[in-house]
Amino acid sequence: MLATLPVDELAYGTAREHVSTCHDCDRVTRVVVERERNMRLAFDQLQSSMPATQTAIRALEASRRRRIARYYEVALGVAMAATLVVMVAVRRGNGPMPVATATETFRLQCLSPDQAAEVVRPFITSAGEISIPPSGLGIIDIRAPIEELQKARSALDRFDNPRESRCAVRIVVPTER
Amino acid sequence: MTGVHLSIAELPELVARTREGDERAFAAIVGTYKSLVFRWAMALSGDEDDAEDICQEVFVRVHRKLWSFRGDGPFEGWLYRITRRVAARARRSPPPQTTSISQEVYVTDPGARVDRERAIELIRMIAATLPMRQREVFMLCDLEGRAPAEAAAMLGMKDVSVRASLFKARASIRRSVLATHPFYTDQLR
Repeated sequence: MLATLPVDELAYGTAREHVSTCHDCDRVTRVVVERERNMRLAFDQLQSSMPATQTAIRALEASRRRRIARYYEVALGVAMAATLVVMVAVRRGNGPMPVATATETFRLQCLSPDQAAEVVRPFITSAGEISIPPSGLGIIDIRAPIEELQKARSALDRFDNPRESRCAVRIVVPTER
Repeated sequence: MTGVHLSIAELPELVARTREGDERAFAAIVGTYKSLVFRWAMALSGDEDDAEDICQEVFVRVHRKLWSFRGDGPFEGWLYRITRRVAARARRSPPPQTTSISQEVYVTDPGARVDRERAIELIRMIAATLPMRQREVFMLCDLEGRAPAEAAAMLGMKDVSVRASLFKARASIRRSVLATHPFYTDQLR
């Protein structure tokens, strides 16, 4: 009872009636009641050392600063989102990233430009281009990614080689009759 | 019971005016609740400097979050929940050094003024003696004189849990009081 009753009940209630007849309980109760009342009084008198008006002014300033900071955060977030949207839109509009290409002119030794174009066409994708100058000089221009250009070169080396291909010049030796 | 000087009719008006940007209305709210918040902060932190910081931060948040106060519950309950959250965040920083309970605290003189240092010392004693939940219940019920049901609503606890915590808190405080009282200290030896 002494451990759990409210201090007011210890001082005036049924507990008080009991302790008035018990010397030990009376002494303990008096100590507890006195201490807890002092504690309540002390707690009630506890005040901040800073005046309330100063707290209010500081709170208003801090609140204002945080609101502005919040606006900046939101604006920054919107700007970042807009940048991302624009980047995605630009990327979609341009299709895949451009691949580095090179142009090379091949001088044909025995194939005609049309034949050479047929030979290299399987190695050149849509990123590349085969063009035959109208000059009739026996050359072919290929613009393609480096890797495809190398494949085209090796194909021409193989098929436009007078020694190894069908277009090799055959020396016909007339036979004596 | 700690005194709050605003009438029930005044507070909604002050809240509404503060929402509209009236700084004087906000200052009136601070003036009314500052002491209460400071005492809560003292009890929750056990340190005067921390309590000042907590108190300041609470009113910054009050100003920023006042739009979210619907007014369907007591303003003090809403304010207490903010104070708890701010104090909990402050507790994550290194704890303040607690001083031992001095015998001077127990030299009672009913007629004398209970000065600030002594009050702070008492709060530190409570903070050192009780776990957080019991400390909150003891502060709201026994030091501020609130009914357990009101404390339960403020703490978001069941009434019966508040009573149980309150009993434990009283028992701990009274054990501590008797253990450090000169007469009973001698007897306990």
